[in-house]
Amino acid sequence: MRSMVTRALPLSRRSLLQGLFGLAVTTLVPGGVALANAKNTRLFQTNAEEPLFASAFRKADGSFAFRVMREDGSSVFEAPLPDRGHSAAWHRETARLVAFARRPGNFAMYVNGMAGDGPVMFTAPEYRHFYGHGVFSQDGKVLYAPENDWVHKRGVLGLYDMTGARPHRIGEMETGGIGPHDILLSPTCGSLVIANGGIHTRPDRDREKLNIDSMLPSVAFLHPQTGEIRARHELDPSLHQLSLRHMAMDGHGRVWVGGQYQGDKSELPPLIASFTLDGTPRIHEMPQQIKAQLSNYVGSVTASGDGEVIVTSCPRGGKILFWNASSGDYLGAQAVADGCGVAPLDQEFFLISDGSGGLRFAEGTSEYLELTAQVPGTSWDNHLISL
Amino acid sequence: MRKTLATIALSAALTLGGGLAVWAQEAAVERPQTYATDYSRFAPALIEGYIRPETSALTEKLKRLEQATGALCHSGQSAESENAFRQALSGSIAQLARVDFLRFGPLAENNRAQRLAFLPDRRGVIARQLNKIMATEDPSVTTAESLAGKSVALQGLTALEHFGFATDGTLQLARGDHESFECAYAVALTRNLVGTAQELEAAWADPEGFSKTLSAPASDHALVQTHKEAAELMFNSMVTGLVLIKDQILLPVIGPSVEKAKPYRAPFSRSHNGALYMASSLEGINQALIAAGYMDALPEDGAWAADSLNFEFQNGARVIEELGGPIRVIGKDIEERKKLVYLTLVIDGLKDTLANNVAGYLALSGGFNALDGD
Repeated sequence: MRSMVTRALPLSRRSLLQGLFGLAVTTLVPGGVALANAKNTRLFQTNAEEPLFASAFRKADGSFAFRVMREDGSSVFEAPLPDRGHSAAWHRETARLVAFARRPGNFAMYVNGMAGDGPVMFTAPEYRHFYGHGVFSQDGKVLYAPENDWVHKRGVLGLYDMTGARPHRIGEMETGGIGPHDILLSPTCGSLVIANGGIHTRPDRDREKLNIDSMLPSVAFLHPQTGEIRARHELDPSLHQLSLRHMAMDGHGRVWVGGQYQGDKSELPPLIASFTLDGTPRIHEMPQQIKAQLSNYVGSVTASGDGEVIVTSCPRGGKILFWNASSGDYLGAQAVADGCGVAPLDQEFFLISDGSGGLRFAEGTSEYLELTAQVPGTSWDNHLISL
Repeated sequence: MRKTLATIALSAALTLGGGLAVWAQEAAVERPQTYATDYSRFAPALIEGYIRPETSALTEKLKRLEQATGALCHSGQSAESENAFRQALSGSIAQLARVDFLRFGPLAENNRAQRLAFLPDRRGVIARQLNKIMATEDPSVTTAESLAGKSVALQGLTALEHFGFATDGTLQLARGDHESFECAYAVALTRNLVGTAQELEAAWADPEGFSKTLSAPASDHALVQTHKEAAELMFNSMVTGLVLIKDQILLPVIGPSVEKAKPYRAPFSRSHNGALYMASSLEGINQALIAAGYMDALPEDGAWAADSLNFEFQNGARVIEELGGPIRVIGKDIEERKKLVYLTLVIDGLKDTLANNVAGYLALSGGFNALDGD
């Protein structure tokens, strides 16, 4: 059994700030030069004619892997994972990709798409595990990864210097809540936005939820360099069991969050809310007959390329919901059995993945979903990202 | 029930252009109480009672196709050889449909599913690759051994159908400018298909292979650790098979409107075997469910689900049988479209009864993401 002793932060706050600002200085190097130099050595190159996507998946033999692929599921890059994966962080300009373990997994796989080197596996430090998500700093040099500090019942962001051959942890920030899950970087308000799911878990209790009665989810806006919590929003206390998990930012700077309700299954609470740094959270309602089919569970949230449409996937209900980002209104639904991963394709379209190896092209609610692939024996995991 | 579904179908057909509401609505069904179920019975029953005989039949059907292709190409064209080829192709397509929803284990290994038929092909990969092959008369596709190393898009029944038939269903194999090359390719392709089917058959026949994985699950196996997981894997493949009939075939064929309907997107519709492929898929899934024993395992108060499935499978078969012609020909006809829309509802009903009710009675879990997402 592990000791309950708290592990000290690897860096002091001062050295953390120095480290971050030191990295920031190097962003003055024109990114275009690096791109031009590395163009011919890129491990994967996405473009308008051949957009690429990435997802963790389970293979036909039950093992797990991560794939960069075309819309027909054909592989551009694939690497095995030691266990089930979840989502990934991607930085287009530097072609850095990090795939994360599904919680409470503690591995991540770094692929430097510029260098064309093989993947590098790394882990969160002792007494931390990943939550399956991460995001890069604007210049791609720092990775922010939500982690569990279960000893102190708090969420943290692990900060990793990505400029070397191997990710190097340079510090951490508190997320302002328990169970930080999805994370994004908002260029609109210059903040890291974290969905604190509110559920306390410990790796020695696997995925058991330990504080359902008292859970308190929130969405926090953090200064990316100092870690200062600039805002922390909670929903109405009556919704304290709505675990806020997955997020996407629309073209107007609002952060849309999908929840997973941990309360009485007979209740039908709202599942979608949106947030800004300094505004009041907004609840987005859907028709009751749709809500009744979703098992109170949203699996992923994605924005269209133009930011005008938000998509929320609900695999337990076999539904993909579409929302108007400008008005906040529900637009309609499409049926996809076990559909969960959704990634933007071009400006207005989406690619949807499911647990049976299917990939579907979606134009919205007025067209049918077009099957682009059905990979036998494959189960695409919860999240699909556009490269 | 029939009257109700027919009424729904009509209204769905009328509202189809307005937003595909029919595809966006699925009934939420409360899962009934579950009963103790012996999960160890399903895998041996399915393997012995369905998978092994059906994969063996696929090999036989493809051997006949190989012979018929050779006869058509080498014995001179005649009505008899053309009919024999058409029949052999139809038989192979129908048999493939009875097998290709078993998308786990041997069919999911070594690209076997794609090597038998490259589906879906939204971007026209088969046509693009065939154009190149035909333009250069690439000799590497003229022996089964060398073809096996080429793109899977060039190896399947889908490729044979594409260059063997014109878009209007006319048989054009061995009739064009590339006659001898096409024949060499067609014979190699069918021979390679026989090889793929034999691999599939052998893999399922191997008592130490995936049959054992399903029938005698091991706690340290990566995919199947319990009898219940084996039962779920098989069951879910059948549900997915139904979803594919709708999503891969019917939805593009019907489209959001007559103008946007794409009957040509139905697999094997070029050779006028599109409806046959669908009907055989439905029939195969039904027989696999029964052979596995899922219906027999239903508790007394769940027996209605087996009756309902039986009725709706027959209903689906009847609708397909009553189509007024090949899908490519009738796909844009208003009355025929109503039948196809109705068929989507029948399949929705089948899927819902299986995924909600039967799965509920047998306590079978479905969904990689739905079951235990994050």
